[in-house]
Amino acid sequence: MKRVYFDHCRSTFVDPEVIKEMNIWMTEKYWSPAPFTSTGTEAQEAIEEAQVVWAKFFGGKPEEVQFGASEVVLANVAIRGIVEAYYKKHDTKPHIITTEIEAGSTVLAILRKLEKSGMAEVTYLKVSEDGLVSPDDVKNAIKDNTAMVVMADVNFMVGTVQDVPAIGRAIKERKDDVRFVIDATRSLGHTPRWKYADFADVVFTDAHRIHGPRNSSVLWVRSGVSVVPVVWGTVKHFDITQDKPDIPTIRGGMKALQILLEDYEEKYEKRKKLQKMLFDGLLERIPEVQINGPWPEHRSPSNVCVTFKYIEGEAVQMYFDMNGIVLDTGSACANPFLQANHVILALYNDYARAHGSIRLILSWYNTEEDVKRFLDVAPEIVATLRKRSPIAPEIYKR
Amino acid sequence: MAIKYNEKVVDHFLHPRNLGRIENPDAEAVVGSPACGDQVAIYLKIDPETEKIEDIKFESFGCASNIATASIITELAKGKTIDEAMNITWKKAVDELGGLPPIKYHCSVLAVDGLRAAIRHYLMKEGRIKPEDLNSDLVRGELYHVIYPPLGVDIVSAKRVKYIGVEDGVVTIDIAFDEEDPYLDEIKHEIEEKVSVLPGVKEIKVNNVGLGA
Repeated sequence: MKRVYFDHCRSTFVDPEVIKEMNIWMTEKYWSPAPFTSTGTEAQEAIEEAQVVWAKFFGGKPEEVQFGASEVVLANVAIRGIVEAYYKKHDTKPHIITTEIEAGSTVLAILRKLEKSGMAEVTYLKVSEDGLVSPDDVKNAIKDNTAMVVMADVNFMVGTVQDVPAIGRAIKERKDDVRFVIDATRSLGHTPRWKYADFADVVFTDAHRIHGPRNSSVLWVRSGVSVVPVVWGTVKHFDITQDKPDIPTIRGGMKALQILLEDYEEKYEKRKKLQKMLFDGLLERIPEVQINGPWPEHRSPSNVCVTFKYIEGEAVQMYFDMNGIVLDTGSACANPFLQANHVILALYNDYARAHGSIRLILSWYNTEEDVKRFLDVAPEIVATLRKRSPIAPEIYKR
Repeated sequence: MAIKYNEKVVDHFLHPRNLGRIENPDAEAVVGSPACGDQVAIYLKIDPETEKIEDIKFESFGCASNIATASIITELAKGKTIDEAMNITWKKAVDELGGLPPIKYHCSVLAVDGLRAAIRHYLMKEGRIKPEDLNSDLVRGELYHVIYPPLGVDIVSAKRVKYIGVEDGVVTIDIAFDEEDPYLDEIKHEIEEKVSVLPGVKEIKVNNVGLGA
């Protein structure tokens, strides 16, 4: 049985074209960047070309693009670096604005730690039922000591696409030295084609969710924005991340981005179509399906997150797994700390809805065949589990 | 370490035994809640002469380990006297399943709780347990079913329960965990859930005294 994979937020396969590109820099040209020599300069130029490609995507300058070890490291570098810079300039505790639906493993983890250690004060903004952050709320939360606003442009769980251009404008209107930091680790290819440099100051992202290699992590910092290095190493290549360049990974990430940009609209529309088939198909075939997050507006074309009422997500996930279909759940049972997904709780304040949620993240490599396979098995899985559930109405017991 | 289910667990998950409800049961109990993740309902038919469990059925809003444990519990309990059934532990159920990943032990406890709660309801209905019987031993008995997930050990055996007091239906429990422990809220929640099913409980106070206390 061919496996159908819908968990592209966790991992993607590496595109064969990307592997081809990486292979060159691992076998034929395994050089390290250095001045004067033919090998060294070729390696240096390989990095610079990648900086140009990313800079064009961000709308910034090539020298504003730096590479680093992982998205977790770069999130730390960006956020803590701005905190350090704030202390240097103002010698007082900075205030940070974020939202309650950010990624738990990076942004929220870092901010909670800063808060607990007394390094920063943090405001966690509430969001609408669609997971939208209001530009006015951001503006109104800005205080004299606000150093930055940090948030994702696409929510990882329910796919809400934020109006980051408007949020960026609102921030600058209120106080133009407040940095706008965007976590774009889960949004490549899921947004309208906007230029981050038009509204943001710092962006960190990673190409591993667009069929690039693991840890092809990129940081963009607008010139003039002070980010004090928090990881110390060499300033030879990248003065903020201070990391050594991993050329095969940098080239692989670059290639993955180029492939995405080749026919961005087409890839966008393809997923949008599959997404609609999935939502329509589920609503048509299964009663009491709750769509989590916004629909059809304001949603990433890749995100399908639903709750089948009265049943638990890990059991649903297991059944799909046994049918060769890979997806994710927001259930506490599947979480190592036994906590239900915080995004769905923030949106609906409904534990059963969070425990019962499943999430599919589509790639442009997914097909209508994949969607049909999913829709074919879903009704029976849901019916089987509802039959067992003590909270399901009688109608599902027959 | 990869967390996986063995074949027997998967079999019970896919083909649960004794699934469903019993019309006019002699005793029933619903434990847990969707808010805490899992919920199990147990229904019993008990022979009043022999006090043997003639029939048992269950329903579950829960994950695979929850469903599998509930299924095996019904097999273990069927035909047993209520005294014998009361002594079926979650450990016994897990052993019978050929083991569960330690992180999932806490899911297995709920089914055992459900069975015990149903039997207790039967005993209360028969007037054999009264609210005034509440004491710290009964409370401790319940705490044996609160699992600390990282260790896969109950909090009493892990020596994390420092004090149990019972006065006029008010139960006070001191526990010792790091304030930053990511499981702390879950543990408190489970303690309240387990202790609240005892007869005569009016209020539960759980205090974390911290590590080193």
